[in-house]
Amino acid sequence: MDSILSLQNISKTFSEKPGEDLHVLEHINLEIGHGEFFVLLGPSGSGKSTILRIMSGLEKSYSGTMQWENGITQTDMSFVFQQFALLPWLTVYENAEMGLIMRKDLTADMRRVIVMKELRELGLERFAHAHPHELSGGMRQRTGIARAIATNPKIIFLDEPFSEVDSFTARELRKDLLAIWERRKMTIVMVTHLIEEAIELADRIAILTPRPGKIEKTITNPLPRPRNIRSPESYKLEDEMYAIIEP
Amino acid sequence: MHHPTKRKQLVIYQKRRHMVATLVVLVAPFLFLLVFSRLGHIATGTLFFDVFVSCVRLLIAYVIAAVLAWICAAAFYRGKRSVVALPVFDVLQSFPTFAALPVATLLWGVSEATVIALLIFTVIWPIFFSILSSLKLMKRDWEEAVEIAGWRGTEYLKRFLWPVSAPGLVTGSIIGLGEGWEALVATEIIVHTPSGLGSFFQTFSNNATITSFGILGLLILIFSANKLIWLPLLAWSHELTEE
Repeated sequence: MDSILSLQNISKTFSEKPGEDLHVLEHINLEIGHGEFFVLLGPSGSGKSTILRIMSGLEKSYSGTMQWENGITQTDMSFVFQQFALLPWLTVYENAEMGLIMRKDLTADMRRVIVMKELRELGLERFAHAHPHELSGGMRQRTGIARAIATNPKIIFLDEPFSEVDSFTARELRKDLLAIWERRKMTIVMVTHLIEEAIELADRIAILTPRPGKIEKTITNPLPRPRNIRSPESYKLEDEMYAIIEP
Repeated sequence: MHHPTKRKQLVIYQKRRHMVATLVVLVAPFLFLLVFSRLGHIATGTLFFDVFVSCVRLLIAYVIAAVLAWICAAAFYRGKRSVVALPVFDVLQSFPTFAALPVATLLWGVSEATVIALLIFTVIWPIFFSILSSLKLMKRDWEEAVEIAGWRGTEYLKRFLWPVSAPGLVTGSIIGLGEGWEALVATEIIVHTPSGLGSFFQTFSNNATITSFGILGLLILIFSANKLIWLPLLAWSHELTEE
């Protein structure tokens, strides 16, 4: 596999107080392929978000080796947060523009064209002036996604991006995310605790054990796209994954 | 179509009634001083000058204190530096302001600088700790979003730290200036400045009526400043970080 990122023997321990170490991750080995939709699945406390934070550079202290494909830098990565992480004093437009602000090669007009294109794609054009507190949860997460894709990243990390919205909105957002991924061919690494969500979206799924998080098994999703998550094959895969998580 | 970067406006006067009320509050202290000077047989010019000089002293001290407090809070709110610096600030703020008076007098003598230095020492702590608390309590997600966006330098300070710290700056300013007015009069009396409210109160210390009206005038002045400037700013700053 032509990998964009590889993790070897990654472990992470939080030391809150002397003598009280919390082992969160143990010997994580992973290869993330180019253009792959990769999902980390596990129960609460399995360290899946910590892996995502290590990959994205938000968590800097860990043991083991992480290797990026040559030429990949921090500016090639984006992050979609579970609780949106929109800055409340900025408008939807300004939040979506955040990743472009430091780009010296872009003028304000060029940034405007890029951001408005992304807002249009996510149905947010009419809300460009609005502040986050004026939006529904779904709209806020759409803004979070617009912010992530505005920089045209090579890889996007998503930390349980649909867990704060209702199931109908989550379904719409999953569709939107898949459409964006299929069109742009970027790599996606997403964390979820929902097996159905993992089956609907992922090319491959890494299943983590409860703390300390280890990779129990990595499954390649055999279901063809577009997927019907109510098909017998999907239910079979779901049962298989439940058996791994709850032996 | 409006440009999409339209920012939250600083709207102080939502209603005409509010504007009229504020104008009245602004005019009231001046009318009070005028009537007071006539009834108390005090030269009107001297009284206005004393009030003006004291206000300028406090304003200068406030601006210096606010800038220093913001810089220190931004520099020390997190990381290894904060572990060392914050306990030091904690000890420093526990010193009574007037404990610094001998040092200040030794350095600058009986001068404006001494009064302003003491005022800075009084006003800075509430502002510093209030900003610090705003920065420490901010959502971790915001910081991480900014880190992913790669904001650094002036962009980081202007677009991120400044709005996050605004509620703390305003709250701290209200508390700091409250303490500042108190320290201002006391410092001016102790230092024996030739002008200012301290000098006024000292001159009329044997006249209970004039002193009482003087205090009432000072209260009207402080109330006006709060009503006119600080309360609208407080509402605005909290709206900034409203989610």
